[in-house]
Amino acid sequence: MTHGDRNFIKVISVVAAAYVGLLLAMVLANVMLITGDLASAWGTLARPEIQQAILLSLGTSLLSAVLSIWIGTGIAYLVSRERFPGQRLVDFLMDLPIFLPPLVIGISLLILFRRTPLAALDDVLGVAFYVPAIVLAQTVVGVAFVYRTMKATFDSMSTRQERIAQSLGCSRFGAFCKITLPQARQGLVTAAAIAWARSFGEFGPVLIFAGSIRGRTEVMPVSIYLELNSGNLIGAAMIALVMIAIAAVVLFVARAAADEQKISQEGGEQ
Amino acid sequence: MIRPAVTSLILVAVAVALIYRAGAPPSAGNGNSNGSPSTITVLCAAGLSPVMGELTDVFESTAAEDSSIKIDVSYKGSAQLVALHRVAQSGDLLAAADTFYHQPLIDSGLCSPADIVAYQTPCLIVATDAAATGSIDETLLSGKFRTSIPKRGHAAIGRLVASIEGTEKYNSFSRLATVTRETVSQVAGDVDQGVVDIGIAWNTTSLQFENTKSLTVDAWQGYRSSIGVSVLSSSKNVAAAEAFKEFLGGQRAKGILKKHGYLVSDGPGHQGSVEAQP
Repeated sequence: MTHGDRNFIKVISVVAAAYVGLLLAMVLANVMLITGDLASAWGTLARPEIQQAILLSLGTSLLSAVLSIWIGTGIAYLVSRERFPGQRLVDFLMDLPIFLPPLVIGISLLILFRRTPLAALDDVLGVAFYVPAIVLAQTVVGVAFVYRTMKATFDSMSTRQERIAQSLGCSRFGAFCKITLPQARQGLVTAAAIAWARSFGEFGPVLIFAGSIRGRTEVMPVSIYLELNSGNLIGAAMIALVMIAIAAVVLFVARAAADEQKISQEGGEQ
Repeated sequence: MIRPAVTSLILVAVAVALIYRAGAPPSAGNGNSNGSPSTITVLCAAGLSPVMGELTDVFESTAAEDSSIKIDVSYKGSAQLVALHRVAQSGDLLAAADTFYHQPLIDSGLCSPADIVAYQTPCLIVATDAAATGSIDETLLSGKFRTSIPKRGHAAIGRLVASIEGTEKYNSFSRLATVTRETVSQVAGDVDQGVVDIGIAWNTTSLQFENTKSLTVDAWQGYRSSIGVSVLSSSKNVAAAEAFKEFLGGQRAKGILKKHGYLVSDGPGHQGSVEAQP
């Protein structure tokens, strides 16, 4: 390794250390604030509306992640493997939710469901300002992330085995289920983790489209917003820490699952 | 394919169980024909959240024993509530930080005239151990202090203080500010967390934030904002909305409002004018 190479590694190591240090310091700052008034922090968590928000966050984010995986994976496979008119437009549109400010998605959904003929349907079904609005807002964003991850996965995979399977009499659907999906498992786990994480932390679209209604559409990011508005900084920090803890557990499980897939895939190849 | 499908079904079942366990109503529906409580939604200014939380608890537990009305509250900044209601036209009652915000909806036929239930007065908000005085020239214009100023177009307090001090002077407050904010709660939060030394807020705001106190400004004495409540024309349960509105104008609610620092008139609630004046 040359002197220049060593310097290059040193510089990126310092940048990496600074960034990781910043992340840890952010978590530590929350912990330090809470330890100053543990009773108040636990008191916030003990409140029924906060416990409701935790359950609702877990439930809606899980549901949205599952929906996102099915929808996003299907579209990614279609765009990756087929050629059809408007393909580039679909590819472009699928990226939009990633690049749009989250509030734009919230206000657009609200206008769609309350200011168009869909409003009559919404009056009957009750989507806006209810739990389905949370799931819809989360899924719209989640699908885009799944699509981007899965498209990259499908694009990087050889279609040879799929074609061989089809030449041996396997249907297209059968080849997708038996060949493509198992090969794309690692991408699926990553996409699911990203979709869940995005859904779990979604705030802007939920605030606008589902409202910030205690006991009805209050998910954990909304709880943080409401606690800050009522001057309960320690409570807000406590909820933030719970979110960090839940996210860390899910990330750990997802990484473990991805590693397991990798090992079993490598074993299979050998 | 079977394995991912089964896994997905299990995850969906877990998700639905969690949502059900959270107790959130899955979708719209006003009960009461089958004995279940009828639910009304109050669109409420975020700054009123502590007092509104207590008012709804008391109403649900006592005042509405016979009628079994459940209150859901959606908290946002007043300007945002009004803007979103123009789009969504959903909800039963509007409780904004100033009757000024009701007027566009009244003009559009989207809500009834507002009944004033309480008043709040503008003041400076500082940390409890701060040595600052209530002089505007010393605090907001000297540049000696870090300040958090509510935006004139977003927060009721900003609009009121700008009307007292004049737009030009208020713009100077904003220019010299460390930060400008959309809601009074954010301003108070800045002071509470030590991000800034001083801010503009309501007399009631400092009571919500442990590390803050109010400083009276002589020039602002006598000015106040009128907190009004209107029934929205989108209400599907006008009787329940009227019942809660009536409760908010009653003696029990006035006691709670006073406890939170709000000024209330001893007479019955009255319909308010648009401008907050001394």
